[in-house]
Amino acid sequence: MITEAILSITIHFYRLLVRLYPPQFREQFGEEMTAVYAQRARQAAANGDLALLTVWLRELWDWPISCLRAYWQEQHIEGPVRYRWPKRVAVLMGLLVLGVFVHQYAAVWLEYRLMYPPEQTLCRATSLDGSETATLSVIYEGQRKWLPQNPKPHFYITIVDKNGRTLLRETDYEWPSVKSYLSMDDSFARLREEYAPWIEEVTVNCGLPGTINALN
Amino acid sequence: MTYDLIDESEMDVKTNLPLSEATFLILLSLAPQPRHGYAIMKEVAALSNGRVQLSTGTLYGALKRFLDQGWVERFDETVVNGRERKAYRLTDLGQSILDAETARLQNLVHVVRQQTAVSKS
Repeated sequence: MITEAILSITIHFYRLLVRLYPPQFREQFGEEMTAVYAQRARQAAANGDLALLTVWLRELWDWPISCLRAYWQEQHIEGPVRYRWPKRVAVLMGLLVLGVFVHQYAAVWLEYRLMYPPEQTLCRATSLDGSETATLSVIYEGQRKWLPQNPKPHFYITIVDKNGRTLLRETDYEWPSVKSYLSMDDSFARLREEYAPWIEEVTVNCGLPGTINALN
Repeated sequence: MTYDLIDESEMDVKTNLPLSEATFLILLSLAPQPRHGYAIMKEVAALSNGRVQLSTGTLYGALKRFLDQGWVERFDETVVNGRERKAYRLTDLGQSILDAETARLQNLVHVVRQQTAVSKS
């Protein structure tokens, strides 16, 4: 009973698959193919569900290649006509996809490299007492990893004394402090506007809050 | 200077060799008698001891190609319940291609036997 139901479903489904063949091919062989499949499936069903499943899976597995080949023939494209051709086509398709990927990757990579240097200093802030200098920088996340990604800025602050000695270099920076730096100068305001889409995504993690607060 | 005139049909046969196993088996299944689609499938499976199981799509893709190339022809076959169905039979060209491939394989087997006989002795 169950096998009969499955058989009926697979035949109906096969009829749908046949409809996806090119019109001329379908007109010439469509009914015949469905009839042959039905005959074959009935024969298999007599040997049990597993046999039916095997036949059905074989048809499903083969369908994309057969269908593609039929379209190929329909267009009268002189392609490889022997049964070895799917392997060649697979290799060609693979090379094509790889080529597109390499091309796209190279284009994006070059764009990032040319437009955004790896570590771009965007602004410089002077602390209130004038004894320390804070340098606010942006690193593009895409350049910190191998693959290019969206240019999501990653802020960090470097504090140096008058002699150029580095006092602090924090990579994960508390955003409210960054925000206050950005509001100190016109150039900061421009930067804030420029990076507005990503501002809320900056990691809030302050390494030395006392030092940073002293700069506000 | 003399030129060998090559028969066009002979050229057609030679340019299509070697055949793939599935193609060879389908043509071979049609050699003794015309058959309809399902009978071709069963015969191919029997000829290959069940190793080559053609799917319906593969079979009809191949038959379409054979029809286009004039290797087989299609005709209506009347069955017992009076319903007509299509059957396929080899054309002369199809038979020539089958013969040529058979000869090629025979030659190959002959060469292999010679080589193995030499290595054994």
